[in-house]
Amino acid sequence: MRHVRYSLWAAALAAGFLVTGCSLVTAAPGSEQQAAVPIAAARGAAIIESSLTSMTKRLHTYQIKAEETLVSGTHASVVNYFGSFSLPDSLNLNETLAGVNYTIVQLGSRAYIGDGGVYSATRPIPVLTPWTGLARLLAAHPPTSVAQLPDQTILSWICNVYQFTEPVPFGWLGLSSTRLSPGLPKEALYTVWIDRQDNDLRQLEIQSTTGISGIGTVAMTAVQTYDAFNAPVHVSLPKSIA
Amino acid sequence: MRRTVLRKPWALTVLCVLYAIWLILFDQLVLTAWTLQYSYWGVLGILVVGTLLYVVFPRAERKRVLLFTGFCLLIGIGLSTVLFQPLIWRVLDYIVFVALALGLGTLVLQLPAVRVVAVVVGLTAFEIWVPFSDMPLVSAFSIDADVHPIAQPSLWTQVPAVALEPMGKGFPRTIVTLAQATPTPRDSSLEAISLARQGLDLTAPATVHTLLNNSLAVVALSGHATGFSLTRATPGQMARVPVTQLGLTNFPLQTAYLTHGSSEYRLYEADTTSPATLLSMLLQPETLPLSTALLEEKSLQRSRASFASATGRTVPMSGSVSGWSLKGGVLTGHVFGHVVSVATKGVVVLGLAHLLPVRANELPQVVVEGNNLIQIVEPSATGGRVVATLRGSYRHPLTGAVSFADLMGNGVDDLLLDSSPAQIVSLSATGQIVVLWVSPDPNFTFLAVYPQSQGDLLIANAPATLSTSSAVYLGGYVYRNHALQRAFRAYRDNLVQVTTIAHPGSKRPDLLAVADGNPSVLLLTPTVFPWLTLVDVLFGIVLLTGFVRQRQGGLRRASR
Repeated sequence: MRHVRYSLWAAALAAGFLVTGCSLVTAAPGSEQQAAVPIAAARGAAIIESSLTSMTKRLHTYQIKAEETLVSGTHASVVNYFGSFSLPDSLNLNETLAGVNYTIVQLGSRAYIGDGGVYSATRPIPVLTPWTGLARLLAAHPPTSVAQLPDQTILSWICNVYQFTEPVPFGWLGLSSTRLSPGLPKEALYTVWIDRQDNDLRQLEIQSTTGISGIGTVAMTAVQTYDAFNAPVHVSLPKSIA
Repeated sequence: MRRTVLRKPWALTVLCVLYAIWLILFDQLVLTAWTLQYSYWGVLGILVVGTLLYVVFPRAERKRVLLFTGFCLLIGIGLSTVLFQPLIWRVLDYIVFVALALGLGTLVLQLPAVRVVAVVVGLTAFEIWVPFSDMPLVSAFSIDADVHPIAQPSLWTQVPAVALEPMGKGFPRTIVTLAQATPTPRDSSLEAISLARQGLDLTAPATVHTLLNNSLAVVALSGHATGFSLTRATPGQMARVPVTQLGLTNFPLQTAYLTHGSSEYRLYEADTTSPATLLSMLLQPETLPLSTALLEEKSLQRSRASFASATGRTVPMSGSVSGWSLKGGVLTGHVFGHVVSVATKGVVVLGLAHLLPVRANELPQVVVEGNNLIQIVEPSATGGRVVATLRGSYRHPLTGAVSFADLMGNGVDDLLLDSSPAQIVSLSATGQIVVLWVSPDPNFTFLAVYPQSQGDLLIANAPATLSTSSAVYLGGYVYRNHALQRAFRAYRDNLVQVTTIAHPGSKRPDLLAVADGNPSVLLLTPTVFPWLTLVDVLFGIVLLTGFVRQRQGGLRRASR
């Protein structure tokens, strides 16, 4: 019995030291997650193009929620977007940039930016359908390989996830690749989430990095989520302008 | 045994007070300060130790130990809310609280009133020093902080602080950072002229006025024999501040502009482009990577022009580090009097470090960063070569936040990469890059390196991950047995910049930090008092008491 008491006492002392004095290495929750292994999707490009074509033909309104993050060193800059579009040329959107909330309203060829209730005219945004440009890119530079990642649920939609890299089309911005800084991105990684049920594009992620002279790598990630397809959208100019 | 000092009522009262304090301290430290994060281990540890404490006492006394432990916790947590009420409520609440504690202690636990009062007074005194609800002060057990408050606008989420490298060897003694201070009228007029010179569309008086009110004074925090002082940054100091460190708080979405009036430098930010243009860029994913890259270049060029105008010096496109500079991907420097040029893919020189064993090359290697890659260049008198290249991925890019640490104290440095997740990589003698450690937490960030002869102490921001709290912890770690072993951990508001700094009043370097959420500059000194040992010793005393009580019970039974 005495041995049991001595053992108990020693165990308690050891436990105290273990808990208080030693460094228990604990893993953060989620650290055990395995990285998704992409598999080659032979028909991936065709499925994506079919989805983008369908979106172009079928949609006349939609809603967007997007976030663009730019990281350089330990600094991160974020810009958030949330708004509705009435195609082909109207939108009503909130944009948060550096903690300041802006409202962007566009009705036909008239566009305004609101800051604290004060609106000023701006140039209208020419393209309101991200999938149009993506389809153009895919047509001009068909990806050499498309990878399929495990299915994911975006909001309530179960989606097939495809990933591919595309070269950066310098000429499309009127630039010549030979005369540009060496650190500019040569290619970007695109990830698309396509609704398994109705083949709609539900989410798009664009990732790229740039080497800026004197700074180093700046990493860009933009995620856009689309929903409320063809739901009623009413866009009107603010009273102060109308 | 009957005459043992532990049988004396006053001794038992002292023991009860010590036990109560130890209990609160133990719970606080296990739950907040010592564990790597809010930890299941901490909760489990309290349960295990509590159970063992309960078991080690004689069966007849277990109930009283358990009740007294619960009583102490109740009083400790209750005091944490009572002690920090507004003054009048604090007094009233405290009186009511002591009355309730007396009732509970004497009637339910049947403790002498004097003992209950002693416990309450003891815990009160302790919690005034270390409030149970106030986690920042828990850091008193591992790090001392000398706080220098500075006013910063709440909108600025990332305040830069630049440690000025000393001219000779040693640690920096000055950091340049930003503080909110009203501009003088004279400076206002100069700033308006400066803005007009830059050709910006900011000449409207209202716009200039708004920008001035939102601008920040550039200040220097310098160490002196008597402490630290905050002054306006001087032209001499500003000549050593790289634009890429002070002007990138919200890069590239906002561009930082520096102006110099008669007595001060001021920095303000303006959107690099209009929100509508950013939206237009977003809606064209095919050109978004390129248009964003061009925006980054545009922002940096504007900042450079502004810094050059304000400081009257040429701001090079690429910074020079220890005599090494990059231009068009060619790294140029001096080795034994010879000019050496090496072709790399780098765009910035990160630094010089002894990454290879000294016996392999006595010269330090030059580390450069390019587009999502890091290259290590081994210079020699006849030229030099790129010995290793580390590439990032889109998912885990390398973003320039790199520091060097001598982890083992053997004179060989390793690379600390603040990628997400953070990593430590080493360069083998054959030029292979070996990953030594990868953070299990994607938000773990290396902040500074604190030199120690037996292996550098790595200072890091470790976020709380069990809860959804945004709280982050200042942690000190050493690399042992292929893992980071925690040397200390203290709660602090988000520290945006920590640097090792020489403090004339101290024999060893201290840590100087700029806090984000709590606008202040902190001088952090690792505490030398062995608090961990003290708590362990107290734990041993409590267990010894239980053991003695068991022995007394056994002797009594034997004597019957």
